[in-house]
Amino acid sequence: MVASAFEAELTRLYEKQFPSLYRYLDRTLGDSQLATDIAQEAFIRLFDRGSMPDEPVAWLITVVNNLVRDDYRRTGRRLRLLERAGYNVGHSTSSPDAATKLDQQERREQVHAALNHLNARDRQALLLRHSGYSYREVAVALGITETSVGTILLRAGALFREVYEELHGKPD
Amino acid sequence: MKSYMVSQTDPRHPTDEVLLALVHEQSFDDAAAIRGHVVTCASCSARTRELAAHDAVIADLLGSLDHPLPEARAPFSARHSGLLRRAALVAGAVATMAGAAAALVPGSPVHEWIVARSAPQAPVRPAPIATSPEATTATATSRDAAMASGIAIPAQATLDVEFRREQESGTVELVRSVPADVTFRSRGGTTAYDVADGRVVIDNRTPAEVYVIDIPSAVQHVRIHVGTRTLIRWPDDSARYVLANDLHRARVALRP
Repeated sequence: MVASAFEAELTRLYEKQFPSLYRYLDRTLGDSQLATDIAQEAFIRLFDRGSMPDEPVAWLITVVNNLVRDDYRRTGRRLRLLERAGYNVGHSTSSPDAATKLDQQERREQVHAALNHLNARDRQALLLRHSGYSYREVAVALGITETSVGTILLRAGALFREVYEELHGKPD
Repeated sequence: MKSYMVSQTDPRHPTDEVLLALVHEQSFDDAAAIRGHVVTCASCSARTRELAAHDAVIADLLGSLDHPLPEARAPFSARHSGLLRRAALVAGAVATMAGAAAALVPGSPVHEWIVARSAPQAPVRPAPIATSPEATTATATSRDAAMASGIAIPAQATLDVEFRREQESGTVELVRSVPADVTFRSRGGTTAYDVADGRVVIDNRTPAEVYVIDIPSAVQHVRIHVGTRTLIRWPDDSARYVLANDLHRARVALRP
């Protein structure tokens, strides 16, 4: 059976964009399982849509940001549920030793603590850019002008680094 | 004040925003001309290096948040269960369909589930559960593959699922599904199933990472246990384990 043009395009988009979308979500949420689920949910919704939007990358980012926002409303309850069930939130598929794992987890918490000092839009812009999205994609996804992306990144990057160093010292 | 916090504002030179866009290799008007200026201007070259170093520190810090990119798998949503359950159950047969879908990117997970969706196939079915005292045993072995096919059994009001062995890790997911059968799938390891008298015994001799059990609405009660240790009673305990982003799915760890 020959796939429709939309399905073929969706497949190509998935191959190309899933890693960046996952990376953005993983860094935002600190939960690789949830990041995978939300990233895939975005592609399911695109499939349901039946046609490609004008800006598919920005569309995907908008969908996952909405899903993340909805998830944050339930985060406290969700984490308690998962921890009570003994589910290892954010576990890695690799198996470092316990000491390395603790160091990694501590570093993640430190970075998240610094990111939380940014407002939501600045944090999203910083994470999107460093997940591989272009200024244009960041601008369309966040509903800002492309020329303001650089300004936001400078401000967000400076604040993020300043807060991190104040809290935890200069990074190694 | 730290150098990365002070913006360059001399109108004779590009702003920090423009220099950062160069560091990020963005395309914009006059990019080539500005690059040419930076090469010949000592202060702009130095400023660009500072911004690049600062950006590298940020990239490194954000990189510490990363977990490995997962092996992509078929979309999970229960809304698509009728199509995707079939797709998952015939995962082992997808390779034979690759030739028919050569126009798509071969081997990609989305390619596989789109192909499977277009040509649904019947799930693997063991012999029907006997109502006579003589037990009927049916086994199907799942291969070590991405969400390998397992078994499908007719739904009944009460389902008892037992894992033969404890596992150090791994999870069980219960998903409310549309199709009429109860289906069992797993990812990783080697799993065998014994079905008798309304009871399914999962022989997890080589533990899988994930076991997924699709539960149609005809099933009213499920108990999953390892020996005498109960993992979950569905729907009694399900509220504790239901995922916030998918109310039709509950997940419980196998770890004692």
